[in-house]
Amino acid sequence: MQRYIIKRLLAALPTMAIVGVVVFSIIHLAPGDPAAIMAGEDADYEQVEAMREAMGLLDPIPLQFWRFVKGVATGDLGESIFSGHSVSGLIMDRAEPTLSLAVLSLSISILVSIPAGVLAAWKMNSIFDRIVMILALTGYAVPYFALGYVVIFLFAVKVEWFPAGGYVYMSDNFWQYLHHLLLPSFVLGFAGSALITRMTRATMLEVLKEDYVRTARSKGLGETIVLLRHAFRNAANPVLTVIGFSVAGFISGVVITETVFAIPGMGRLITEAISQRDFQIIQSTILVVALIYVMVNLIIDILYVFVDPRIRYDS
Amino acid sequence: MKYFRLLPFVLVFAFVLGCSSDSASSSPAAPSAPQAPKASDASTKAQVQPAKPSGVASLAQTPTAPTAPTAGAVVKAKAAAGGIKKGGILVWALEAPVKAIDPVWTTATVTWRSSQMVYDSLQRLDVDFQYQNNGFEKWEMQPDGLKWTFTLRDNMKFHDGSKVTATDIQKSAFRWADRITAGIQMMKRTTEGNFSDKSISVVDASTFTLNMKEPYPVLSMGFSEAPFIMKASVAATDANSRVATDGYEGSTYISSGPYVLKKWVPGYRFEYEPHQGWTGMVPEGESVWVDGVNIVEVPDKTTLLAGLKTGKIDYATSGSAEQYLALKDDPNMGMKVSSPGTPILLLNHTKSPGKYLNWRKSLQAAQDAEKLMSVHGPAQLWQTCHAIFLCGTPGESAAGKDMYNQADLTKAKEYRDAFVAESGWDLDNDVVEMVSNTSYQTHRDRSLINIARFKEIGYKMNMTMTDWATAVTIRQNKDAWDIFHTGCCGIPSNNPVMNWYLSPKTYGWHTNQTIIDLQAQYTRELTDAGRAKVIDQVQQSYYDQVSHISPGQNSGYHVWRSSTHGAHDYSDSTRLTNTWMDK
Repeated sequence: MQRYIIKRLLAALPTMAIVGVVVFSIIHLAPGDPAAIMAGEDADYEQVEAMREAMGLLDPIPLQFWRFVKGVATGDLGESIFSGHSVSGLIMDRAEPTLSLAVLSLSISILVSIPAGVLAAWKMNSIFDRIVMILALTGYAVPYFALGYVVIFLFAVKVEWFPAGGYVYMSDNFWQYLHHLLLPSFVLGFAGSALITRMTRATMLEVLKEDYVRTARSKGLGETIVLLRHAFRNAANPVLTVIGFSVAGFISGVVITETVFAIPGMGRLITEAISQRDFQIIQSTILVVALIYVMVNLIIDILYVFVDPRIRYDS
Repeated sequence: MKYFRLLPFVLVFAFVLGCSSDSASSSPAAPSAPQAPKASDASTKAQVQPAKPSGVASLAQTPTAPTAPTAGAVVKAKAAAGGIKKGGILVWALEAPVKAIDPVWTTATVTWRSSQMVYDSLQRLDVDFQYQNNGFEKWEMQPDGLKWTFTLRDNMKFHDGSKVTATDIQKSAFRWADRITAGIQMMKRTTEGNFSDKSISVVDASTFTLNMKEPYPVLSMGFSEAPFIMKASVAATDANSRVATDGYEGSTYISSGPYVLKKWVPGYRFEYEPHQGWTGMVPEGESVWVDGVNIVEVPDKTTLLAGLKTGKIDYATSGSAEQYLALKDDPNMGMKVSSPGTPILLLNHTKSPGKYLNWRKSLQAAQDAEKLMSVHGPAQLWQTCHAIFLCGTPGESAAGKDMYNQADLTKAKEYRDAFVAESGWDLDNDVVEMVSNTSYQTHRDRSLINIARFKEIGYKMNMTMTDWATAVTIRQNKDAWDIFHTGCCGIPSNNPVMNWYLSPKTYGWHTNQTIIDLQAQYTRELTDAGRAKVIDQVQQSYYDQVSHISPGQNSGYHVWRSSTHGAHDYSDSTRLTNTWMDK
C-alpha cells in the first residue's frame, strides 16, 4: 500500500508539470494585459509600456516561465501583480473559506444523500422514493445562484436566522464562522447531494437484486444489517467515485456560491485574478487546485481498499 | 463728556464695519478661478485667504461660500447639543474588488474611493463643485501668475504622528504628476517642466512654491482632490510601480487623512480606525465620529441588497440600477445619486474608415441618444445631454447642440455615400470593427444597440465582444479596431484639459488641431467667462469634427441605511467624515 501511495505521489509530479506548462502557456498566449488595466483609461501608450516594464511583463516568456518554475520549486509562488501580496499568503487566506465550504457541503451531501438513496432503493416506487427522486432532480436542475437567492430571501431577509453573506474566520469566532457557512453549505450541499443520491439508489437497486442479499435475508438478518452491511458496502465503490467527482464539482461550484454569499474563497480569487489578468495568482492557484484534484483522487483510490477488501493495489 | 458715553457704540460700529469690509474683499477660498489681476494690483502680490475654519458670517460673504450654515457647522452644533451618537463600526460595501491600494499607481474608482479616507489631498471639491482648501492653510499667486506660494496647514500630521512637510508634498506631487493627467498637465507648465527642485521648491517645512513658465490659473484642476499625500520616502517609489505592501499595517500606506488603514485582506475586507487627533479643513469643522469603518466586498448585488435590508451593511457605493427604485422608496434607506460620468464611443482616427470625417458624421447622425442611454436603468440615473463636459455643471455648453441626438438615418446615409465616394470603401466587403466587452453591462448593451443601428446605415459590422482585460489590450493596437465602447470622466475631469479622450495621445488618437490648440488656451484663460468661451469652442469643434461620440451622461448612486447620517452632506467624496450612526 505504501509503495502504491508513493508511486501515485510520484506520478502526480509529471501531471503537475504538465498542468503548470499548460496553464502558463494559456495565460500568456491569451489576450489581456494587466498593465493596460492598471494604467487606466487616460494612459497613453508610453505609460502603459512603462507600467508593463515595471511589472516585468516585457521580459522574454521563457524567462518569465523559468521564474515561475523556480518559484514553485522553492515554494515561492510570487506576488500578486496588483496587490503586491504574496500569492501563497493569498491562497492560504482563501483556502480556509473554500475548504470549509467544501467540507461542510460535502458532509451535508453525504449525510443527506446516502441515507436518502439507500432508503429510496429499499422503498422503490414508494412515495418516499418519488419525493427523494424529485428533490434530487431539483437539486440537479436548479442553479446554485438561484437557490442561493431563495435561501437568502427566506432565511436571511425574511426570518433573519442567518446572515445574507460574508465570512468570519474560524479563529476569530467559531460559532459565527459556522453561522455564516451554513446557508452557502446547504446550497452547495443540496446541489451536490443530487448526484450522490441517484447513484446510491441506482447501485443499491442493483445490489439488492443479488443472491447474497437474498441469502442474508433468508438467514433471518435484520433489514438494517442487510441494507448496510451486505448491500450498501457492495454498492459503496461507485458512490465513492461519484463523491470524488463531487469534490471537483464543489470546487467549481464554490466560485458561484462564494460570489453569491460574498465569501472570500479561492473561487473568487481565481475569477477576479482572471478578470484582471493577475498572472501570478492565476497560474499558482490553478496549480494548487490541480494538486487538490490529484490528492482527492488518490484518497478516493485508497478508500476503495478499505471499502472493498478485494481490491489490492500491491498485487 | 456726554458724547464720550457713545464711544463704545462708535467702537462697535467701527469694528463691525471693519469686519464686513474684510469679508467683502476676501478672495475665493481656492485657486481655481482667480479674477484677472487689475492694473492697480500690479505692484502688489495677489493675497488669497483660505477658507476659514470658523466664522459663518464672513464665509457667507465670499463668492463661493454657501449662504446656509455649512454641513460642518450643522454637525458641530448638533454634536455640541448631544445630537450625535459617537461610536460604532460603519460597514461599507464597495462596488468592485479593490486590487491595489496605491492611489497614484492605479486610477481604479474603488481605490480612489477607499483612498480618500487614508490619503489626504491639498484641495477638495464641495457639493457645489467649488474647490476648497484642505491641506493648504493659504496660498498666494504673483500677479504675473508665474509663482505660487503655498503654506500647509500647521496641524497636518501623518498617521505615525510626524508632521507633513513641504518636502513630503513636493515628492508626493512629483510621483502623482508622473502618472495622473492633472499632474502631467501642471508639471508641463513648470519652469523646468520636470521633477526638479526648481519646478516645485521647498521654502521651509511648511511652505513651498510652484514655479511656472506660463500662467496657469486653473491650478486647482491639478491640486484638486487627488488623494496623493505620502511621506517623502514612500513617494520616492517609481510612479509606475506600486508602493510596497509590506507596511500597510505600519508605515507604508499612511498619509494624513481622517482614517488609518489597519488591515487589508484582499478580496475580503479593509479595516480602518480613526486618525486620532485629526481635524479637517472643511469649512466649519470636520470630524470622525465613528469608531471605525470596515469595507467589505460584496460582489453580488442581490446579496448586497439583503445586507442593506437586514442592517449588516450601513453604506454602499455599489447599488445596481435594477434596485434603484426599490431602494429609493424604502423608508429605511437614504440615497444620493452620484455625480455623472459620460459613456463614450471612441472612434479610431488613425485609419480608414475613422480618418474620414463623413464616416464619423454618419455615425453621429444615426445616434439615438434616448435609446442608448436607457440601458443605464431608471430615468433618474441617466439623461440625454449634449454637453461633453456634463450638463448641470460649470462645464455645460450648448455649442454644437444641433448635431447631438439627431437619430436621422437619412442624413446618416447621405454622409455614408459621401464617405464611400471619397474613400472607395466597399460596403459589401469592407468591415467596420467594433470592440465591446461583457464586463460592463452598459457597454455591452450600448454596443448591441449601436451595431444594429450602424448596420441600418449600411455598414458591414464585426463585433468583438470580450472581457474588459482583452478589450483594453485590443484597444492598444491602432490597426485592430474602429469603434470602442467605454466610459469617461466624472466631475473633476469636466474640462477640456483633463478629459482624456480629448487628448490626441490616448485611444482614438484624434487629430483635431482646433481642440489641441484650445486645450492650451484653456489653461491660460484667467476668467470663468474666458474659460466658458473656450469650452464652447472645444465642444463646437468636437461636434463639427466628430472627435468621438458621447450619447449623454449617467450616474450611479450611493445608498445607506437611515441610521447612518452625514455621509454626503458636504461632498460627493467617500471620506466618511462628519458621518455618524444612531443604530
